[in-house]
Formats: sequence, structure tokens, C-alpha cells
Amino acid sequence: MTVAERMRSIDQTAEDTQRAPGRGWAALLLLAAVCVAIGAYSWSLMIRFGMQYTGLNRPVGWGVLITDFVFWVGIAHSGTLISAVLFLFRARFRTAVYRAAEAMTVFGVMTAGLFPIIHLGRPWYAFWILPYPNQRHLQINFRSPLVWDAFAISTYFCVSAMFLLAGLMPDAAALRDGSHGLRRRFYALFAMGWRGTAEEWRHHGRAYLYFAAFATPLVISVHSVVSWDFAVSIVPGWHSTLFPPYFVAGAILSGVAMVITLLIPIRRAMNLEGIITKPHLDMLSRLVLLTSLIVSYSYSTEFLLALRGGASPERETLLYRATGAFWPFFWMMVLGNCIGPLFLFFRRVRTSLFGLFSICALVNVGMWLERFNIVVSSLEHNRIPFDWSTYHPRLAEIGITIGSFGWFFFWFLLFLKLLPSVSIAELKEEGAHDHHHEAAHAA
Amino acid sequence: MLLDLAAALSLPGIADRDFHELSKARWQAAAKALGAQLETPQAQRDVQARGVVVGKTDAAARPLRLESLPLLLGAPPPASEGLQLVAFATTLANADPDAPGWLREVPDALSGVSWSSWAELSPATAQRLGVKAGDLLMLRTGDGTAELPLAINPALHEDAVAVPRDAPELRMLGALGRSVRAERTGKTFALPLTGHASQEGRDLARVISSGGELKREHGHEEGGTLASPHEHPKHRWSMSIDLDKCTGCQACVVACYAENNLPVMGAQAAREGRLMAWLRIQRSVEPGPTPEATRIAVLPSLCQHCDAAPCEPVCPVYATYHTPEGLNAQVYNRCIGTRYCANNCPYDARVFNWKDPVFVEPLQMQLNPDVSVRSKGVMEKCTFCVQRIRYAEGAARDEGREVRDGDVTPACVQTCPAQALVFGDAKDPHARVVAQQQDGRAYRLLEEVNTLPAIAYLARRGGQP
Repeated sequence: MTVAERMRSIDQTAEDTQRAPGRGWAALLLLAAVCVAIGAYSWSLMIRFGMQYTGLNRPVGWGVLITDFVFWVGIAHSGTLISAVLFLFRARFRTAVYRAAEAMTVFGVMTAGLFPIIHLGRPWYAFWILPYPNQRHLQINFRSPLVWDAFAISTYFCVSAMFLLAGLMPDAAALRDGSHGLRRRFYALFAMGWRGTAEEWRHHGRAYLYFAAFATPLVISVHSVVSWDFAVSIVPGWHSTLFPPYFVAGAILSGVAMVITLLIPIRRAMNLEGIITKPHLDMLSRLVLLTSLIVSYSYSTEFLLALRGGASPERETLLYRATGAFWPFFWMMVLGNCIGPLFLFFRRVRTSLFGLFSICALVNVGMWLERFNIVVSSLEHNRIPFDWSTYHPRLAEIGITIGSFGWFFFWFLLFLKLLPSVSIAELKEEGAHDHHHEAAHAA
Repeated sequence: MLLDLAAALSLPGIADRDFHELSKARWQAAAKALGAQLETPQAQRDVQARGVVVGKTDAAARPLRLESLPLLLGAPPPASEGLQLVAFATTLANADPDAPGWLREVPDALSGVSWSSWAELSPATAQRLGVKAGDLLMLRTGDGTAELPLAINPALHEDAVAVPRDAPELRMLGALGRSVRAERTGKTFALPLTGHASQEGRDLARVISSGGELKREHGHEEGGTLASPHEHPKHRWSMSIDLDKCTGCQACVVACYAENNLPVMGAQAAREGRLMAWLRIQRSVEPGPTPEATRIAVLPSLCQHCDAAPCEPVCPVYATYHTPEGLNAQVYNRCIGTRYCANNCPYDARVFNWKDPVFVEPLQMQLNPDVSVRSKGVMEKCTFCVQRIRYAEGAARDEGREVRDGDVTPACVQTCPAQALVFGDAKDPHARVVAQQQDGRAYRLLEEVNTLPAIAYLARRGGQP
């Protein structure tokens, strides 16, 4: 394939993804919208009549909604890892997949950010958690991990959105130049006046590098902050210095697994098999394997420390987690997060779409259950045995969880059709680079 | 309380002596009558701890016969087969449909049941009948039948079925002491049951043998915290709770409902673990080898007003903070309802408003005007009756004096018939609460988490620790 042919094929593929949507896409979008409506109705009940619609009770103050929050923050993590960290490491397999991963990050944070508000007893005062000047001279409590959360999540949203938009500029400009009318104005918005001059490219390259460097520490810090919601408390089963690295590894595991879970159907549906190839998925699945091993190590450390520490509330809480009311959840989690990914040691599994998809889907389930186990079992089995109880999620909480998936996929589906889901500019750059090398070798 | 009354009436022989002297005179007389030897201090302490003088009498020992109980109650003697129907009094009126909400909602002290009638069986009998807690039990006498949900009571005699005296179903069963057949119906009933009745070996309500010392595994270590302790320039309100005196009667709990405008939430809330009580009696009923060996402990539990309160740093909006008088205050208006404080409270002292409270007409007329009614979505908890503290401080200021010990009496302290609760200023060296907190029996709940609570518990004396 000559350079010109290659460029044309990339252009063609990108153009194909922008074609008028099919019925399948419309049906999925409708489904997502219905899910959002279910979630919105469930939340409206809680706003009007109070948190009685949850299954929460006296010792269990947090449940499915906080589980969802941590889950979605985790999902958001891989995007930055793939687009920023791998960019800094010059890992070239990221080019084909990073745009989808980045979009997933932004939509993941947008979903996660809703939960701290939804789960408030008085969500209409959610803005009180932000430091804003007021006549009453009321300040926020900087010692509270929830305040750190508000900063971490909003920072993460801003940075990941900027990173996504910066990367989009040249592609949006290309699409703008090939379209008319409303569509043209839409792309012009994202192109931000991009003309493609050498100077713009130079600035863009610098800015992109800067954003990558700026976003990289966030991969570590945001989920560390989320883990402090638990680790800073004195609840047995939460109070652990292990939590930050354990949560970061878990976040990347769940995030990369989600990327793979989404990419496998997308590349099929949108004919991107030539761009997002099996070797790309192979590389991603190695990340799943690595982080799964870290997570397994963390689970065992957590248990060994508690078991070796003598009789203590920590030990009893952890034993309860594995054997108590939600024991199937615990062992499902072990199966999904620790045992399933071990099969990725085999190349045959890594390159089998079916195997990879099932393992990653199981990881997603396992990671949701992990957060549920941590949040719920620790509160159910706290320091005062008189209060030991079981938490049963209610319809409203399940409705909001469904709504969050609807919300996430609603945006993601729109993104797939409206914006290029692979980076045209970077693919071409890579193509040109490859060709250059091939030419040099031939000579 | 009776002694105070006697003193007020200046009864001769009583008014000029304190309780200790009176009781000593009483058991010494009993010992003399029985010819028991009580010379050693240890023997005297044992008498105090056990509350009985053991000696020999001339009469031959006769075992108490269960059959004689209905005779005492004026009922016909029972038939030989079947179980014996026993009615027992409760301090509240959980089973009485006509009782006011407070008395139905505050859980029964030993069974934990609220808002329902129930029948109790011993674990062995329940096993024999193939029923478990929450099953509906069909009780049959010659007079009639009644279906009652089952609660297991390990302290109950194996041949007895016990039903609270105010249960309307009792009328269906005819006279007490009848032989009653208990059958399983296969149906279940969601009994509104509060609390897990076991300490799971954590030894929260502590017991010391008479004359023994309190074992201290985790003392507060000086310098064991990086946080600097709070300064309390004037007062440091605190409380002591004598577990030796507490009978678990729940009067303090009801008083707290009345004083602090706690809403009555109903049976469903009791099932869901969403009762609003700021003060609860935590019970533990641990079965022993025989019904008599059942170990029962009660622990009044409320906000400990910690000096290093775990709830305070986690609130993002400072809705909870430490006042200069040592109270852990909750600002309802500022609370946004993250519930993080409740999660982080090791004592589970905090209560969340899952919905707007309802005070059915005309109950709104009995609300305490000094205490705000909270709305849905905010956290609340024991305030040490801060409104009463403010009144006492105001009264003292009007009279141009300092607040004296005994000026401030929270509702629970005022109501306790056994005077198990003592409230006062820990900065006043002559306060009764200070003397109690320095007692050898005094300990703090969950000392290992180093929260420095303002409440000291005094371990129960006697029995096996």
C-alpha cells in the first residue's frame, strides 16, 4: 500500500463512521434514553420524599450509589492512562484506541460526578461543598475527604475534557472542511479555528505533550483521593493504608477492561477492524493482566494483614466479607478480577475476541462487586455488634444504577456518530512514519 | 429517690442515714436471723454484689413449682401435657394497639420487638416444634386460638410460652396458666425487631467480679494522637453511666423522644433499622448451658461527645463541630446529608432523617418548642439536651452566680429511676460526674479507637466477667 492509498483508506474509514446512523444505533440510543429516564424518575422520588427509597439504614449509610460512584471513576481511569501515560512512554499501540478511551474517560467522569450529588440527603445544597465567597462567611472543611473528592473529580473532568478536545481539533477541522451547513458549524465549534499551519501543528504538539504530562499524575491522584473516602475513616475494613495503590490498580483494571468491552463490538459495528487490530487488543489485554495481578496481590495483603493481626474488628469484618450475607458477591469478585484474567497469560486467549470479551466483561462485573463489598460489608459489620445488619438495595437505587449506564452510553453513542472515534491525524502521522521507515529499509 | 422523699418528710431513723448505711443495717439484721457469718470484708462485698444473704434455715428447701404460678394468679391448675402460658409485664407497651406511639416504637428491652405482639419460646422448645424467630405460631387453649410471631428467649423455661401482658391476643386464649398447644403454621411474619442481641465477645458492657479490678487492655495513651486536644475554657459537659444501676427499662429512651421531638416512625421503619432514637439501650442476651445461665447485659448508648470525634473531620461543610463546652454539635441547617459522619462514628450514635417526620394532629401540640424539628435529608443526634444547658446557664447568670453541679439535667438523666446516669461539668472538681469518672469501675467505650469520649461507663459488679 502506498502512502496515498493508506491515507485514503484512513480517510475513508473515518468518513464511514460519520455516515447516517443505522437502525441499530437509533435503537441503542433510544434504549439509553429510556434508561436515563428511569434513573431520573428514581432520583426525583428521592428528592421529593427523602432517602427512604434506598435500602440504607442505621449502620449502612452508603450503598449502591457510592459503589456506582467509585465504579464510574474507575472506568474513567483507563482513558487517561491510555492517552496520556502511554503517549509519554511512546507506546504506539495507543494511537488506534486512545480517542475512544478518552471519550470514555470524559463520559465516565460525567457519570461518576453525578453520584456524590445524587446520594446527598439534600442534593439541592450540593454547591455548599465548593468554596465560594458568601455573606455568611461559611467555609468548607478542608479536612474532609469529600471536599478533596469534589476537587479531584472536577479537576479530572476539566483536564480530561481539555485533553480530548485538544486532540480532536485537527480531526474536527478536517471534517469541517468536508461538510456543509449545520454539520459544518458543529465541527467548526470543535475545530476552534484550526487551519493546519505548521505553527499551529508545532503549538499543538507542545500543548498535547503538556496536557499529557499534566494528566498523568491525575491517573494516580484521583483514585487515591477516592480511596481516601474510605481509608481516612476509622471503619474496620476501610481504614487501610493499602487503599490508594490498590484502588488505582483496580481503577485501571476496570477501565482497560471496559475499553476492551466497548472496542470489540465497536470495531465490528463500525468496520474499524483494519485500524483497531487484534495486536492492539492484545497489548491492552496485557495491561488487564498486569493490573489484575496487582489487585490480587492487594486482596491477599489485605486479608493476610487482617488475619495475622489477631482478633480484631478488622479481621471479623473481612471474614464477614468473604462468608457473610454477600459471600457470593465476594467470590464472584475473586473469580472476575483474580482468576479470569489469569487466562490472559495465553496468547490464544488474548487474540480470541470471544475469550477476551468474556474475561473483560467479567472484570467489569467483578470490579463493581469489589466496590460493593468494600462499601457495604464494612458498614454492615462495624464495631458495635448490636447494629450489625444487612443492606438490601432497593428499586430506586437499581433504577439510578441503570440510569447511570444509560447516561454514559447515551453520550458515548452520540460521540461515536458525531466525532471521529479514532484519531485521523495521528493515524496518518503514524502511517507516514511507517512508510518512511519502509522506504529507508528498502533503500 | 425514695430516700430523698424520706429526707424531705424527715422520717426518723431514715432521714439521717444514707442508703449505704440503711442497706447495711438491713442485711446485717438478715444475716443475724440466719446465723450467717459476715465478718470479713470480702463476705460483706459478696452480699452487696449478689443482693442476697445466704444462710441456713430450718425449713426444708422446696423447689418452685411452675404449676403453682397460676394458683398464685388465681387460675385453675394446668393440664399435664402441652406448654404453660405465661404472661409477662414489659416496661413499655409494644404489644398494646391502643398505647401511645412512643411506648410502641421504643423496642422492648429484652426481646427488641416493637409495634407488635409476640410469643416467646426457649431455643430448645422452638427447635422441638421446628419453628424459628419470625415464624407465626398458632397457640391453642380450650378457650380459643391466637396466632403470634415467635421471638426466641434463651432465658425462658422450656415448658413455657410467654406472651406480653398487654397483647390483645391474650384475651383470645382465656385465663392464664392454661395448658397451651403451640403449633407451627408455616407462615412467617416480619417482626419489627431491633438490634443484634449479642456482643460477639467484644465486651462492650463490662462486668467485674465483686472486689475485682477492671481489666484495661487499651488505655488512652498520652500523646497517642497527633491532634491537639480541644481547650474547654469554661465547661466540659460529660456524663457517667453506671451499668450496675441500669435495668434497661428504656425510660431514658422515651424521655429523649419527648424532649427532643423525635418522630415516631412506625413498624416498617423498625424493620428497616430506621428508628430515630438518639439514645438506645443496646441489649445482649447470650444463651448459656441452662436458661438460668443466660447472660443478659444492657448498655445505654448515645453520642459520646468525643474530644477527638471521628465524625467532625469528615463533614465537608462543618455541619458538625466541637463546641467550646465540649459538645459535639450538629448544625441541621448546614447539613447536606452525606452520611459520612454516621459511617465514621464508631458508636453508631448518629441518626439520619430518611424522610420528613410526621406528627399527626394533635401530637404537634406536644412538641418541645426549645428544640427544632428536623427535615428529611439531615443528620441528627444526641445534644446532651443543649437547650437545658442554655437554660441553666441563663438562670445562673440571672442570679449572678456560676453554674452549679446539678443545675443541668438532660432528659435521660432526669428520668432514670435508678439514677444510673449522672451529668455534669468535668471541669468542676467537685462535680459528682468527676468522682464517678475516677471510679475504679469507670471505662470508656471502644477505648482502642482513641476518641476520648465524654461519657464514662461504670462496669457492672458481680457475676462472671
